[in-house]
Amino acid sequence: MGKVFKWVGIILAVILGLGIVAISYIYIVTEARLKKTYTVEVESLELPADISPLERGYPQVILSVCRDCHGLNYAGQVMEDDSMAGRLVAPNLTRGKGGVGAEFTTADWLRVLRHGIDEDGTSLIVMPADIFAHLSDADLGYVIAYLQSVPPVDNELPETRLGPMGRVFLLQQPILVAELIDHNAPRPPDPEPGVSVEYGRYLTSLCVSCHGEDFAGGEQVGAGLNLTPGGDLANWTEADFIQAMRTGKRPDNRDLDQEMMPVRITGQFSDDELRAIWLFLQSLPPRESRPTLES
Amino acid sequence: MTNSRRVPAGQPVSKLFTGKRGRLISAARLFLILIAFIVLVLFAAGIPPRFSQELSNIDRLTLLDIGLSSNAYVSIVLGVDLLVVLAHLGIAAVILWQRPDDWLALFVAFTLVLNGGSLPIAAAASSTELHPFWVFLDNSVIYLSLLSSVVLLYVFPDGRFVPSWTRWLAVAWAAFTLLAMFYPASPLSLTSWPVFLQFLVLLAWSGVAISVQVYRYQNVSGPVQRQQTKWALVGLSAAVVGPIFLLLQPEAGAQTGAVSNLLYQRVGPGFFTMTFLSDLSRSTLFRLGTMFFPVSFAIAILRYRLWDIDVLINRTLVYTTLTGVLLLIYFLSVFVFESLFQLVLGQGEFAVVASTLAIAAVFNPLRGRIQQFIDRSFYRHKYDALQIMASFSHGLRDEVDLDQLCERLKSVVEETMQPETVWLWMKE
Repeated sequence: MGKVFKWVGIILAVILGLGIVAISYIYIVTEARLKKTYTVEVESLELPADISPLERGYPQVILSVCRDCHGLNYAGQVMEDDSMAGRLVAPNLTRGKGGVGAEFTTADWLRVLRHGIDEDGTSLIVMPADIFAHLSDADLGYVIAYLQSVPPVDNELPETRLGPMGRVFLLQQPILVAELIDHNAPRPPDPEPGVSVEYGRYLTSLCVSCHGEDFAGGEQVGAGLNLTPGGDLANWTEADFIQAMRTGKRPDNRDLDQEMMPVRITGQFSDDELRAIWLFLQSLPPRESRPTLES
Repeated sequence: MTNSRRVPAGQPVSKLFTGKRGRLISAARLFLILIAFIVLVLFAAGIPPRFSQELSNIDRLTLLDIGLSSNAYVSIVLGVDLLVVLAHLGIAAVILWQRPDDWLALFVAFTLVLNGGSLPIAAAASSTELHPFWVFLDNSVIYLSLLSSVVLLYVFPDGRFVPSWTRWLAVAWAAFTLLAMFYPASPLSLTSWPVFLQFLVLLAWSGVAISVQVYRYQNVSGPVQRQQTKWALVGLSAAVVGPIFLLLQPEAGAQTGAVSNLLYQRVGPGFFTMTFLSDLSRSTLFRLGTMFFPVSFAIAILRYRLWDIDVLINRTLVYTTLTGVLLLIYFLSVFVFESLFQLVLGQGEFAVVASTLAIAAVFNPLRGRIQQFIDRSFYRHKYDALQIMASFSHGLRDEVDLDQLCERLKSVVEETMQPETVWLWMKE
């Protein structure tokens, strides 16, 4: 009996030791990434004086994406909070108490939106700056000017933090956005608005998060459809596509899942922008659809 | 010769309630059955609104990720609730069956029936879909549950309010909870008070309940009742620790925003599945944890001598107290260190590290102190057995009355060994 207890004790001690080594490794590796500071030269940007609605809908699309996390009044919210996984907070963007709006200069907005870097030089967590990094000066300038103009709302929020399991996810998922961005890359030329493949490509930089880099959809839950020719939109026309983006209705009259493909965002595109997107999607090389968990 | 100086096992433990039998106790039993029936009906009536309530809060993407349908998930949540309600009713039924003539046992069963139903019924009562009549009945059950729980802790295990002034606390509690449940907008209602005052009241009344049990243990109870009190304290500790752990979770009660698909895709399903599962397991464990309360009271009433759980109870008391004190120290030290570091270094990030180190440093000394305190308060006789025996031997020299000697011998055996029965045979 004594031997059994001894071996059980040894096994438990080994497991405990391995656990401590694994936790230490995860902590050291993730801490180095979380604390890594980035020094970037933030370019200058002239903001538009007029923020009345534009003909182009794309800046409004970007603002809708902002509202999805930061709330309808941009006052921020706690998105997820768990002691093991961590806390994801979309900060208050207004000039109210607890908001960043009052102290952010244009350079601060650019640092956050184009480079995904926090005030202390570390990477922001989750913030989709890698998508916003593709925005033209004109569109980004409009977005910043608009955010600076929103009414102040007092809302003090806690900070984003990663729990022990959140650090494990950090090893698997690229959620430190500054790591995803080439901070020294030259700024791409501003695209010429119009119904063109190039402009369509520019407008779809947001779509890759769900539909993938090759627009063939993803495998995980909530991942987008295969948008390449012959994919899930094989039988759609341009009109069908525009109708679906505007109303959330597919050609067969079924509803698009608003949790995954929300009209509140896609409905902000102008007709020309949607045509450009359709044109771009038709220009893509056909890809096979990937099996998803849902299917 | 049977020792009957204190209440023996196998007999009704209540003194206040014992006496009149017959119709009155039959009526009480019927009333208990009626309340159990009402709780079941209210639980059933609350299922449809709770179903839609739970469905509206569902994180659908995460459920898809783990391959669980929305209906299956809600069924699991409600199933756990049903399990808890039925377990409470079952334990109450066993108590009723085993101690049908014991008023205190009936009161314990009554409390368990109400307690078992109160959480799911309270969840249903918050639904806007429920008819006002059902809401009124729900609130009545919750009210009786709050009232009976506190009163039970004041009168357990002999049915008397000891010390007697606790009856006035019970009356005040009855008034507070009545206003809170039925007149929440009244300025005298707890619910209209600042949160810290509400917390203070809850702390005061539950603190008195625990103190009463300790006081009884040390000054009033006999060996049997002491054993019962230990079981009751196990249930009490579990009942207190469960909600504390739930409240300490940062997300407890916090409103979190709906997760957009863009965020979900960027962070990855693993993160949200983890938070979902930890939330689900925490709430399930909390619900199942409420079972400690009925189980320990049932054992206290029915089978308190079946197991010697002194070691378990001792450790439970020590580590429950230790956890509470350490948490308090931790939060206070985080606050103090953060202010201090902010003042001296201009940043408070080291506060958590310093507090953790402080906790590590005080853990062992504190555990020792608490262990000593618990032993001194609850296990004195066990640890003082040698002194008692020595004192008895010393007293024997002066004792000439045989009856007195027998009494003293029984008393010593009872104090040191706590047997169920003491027989003393003497050769004529």
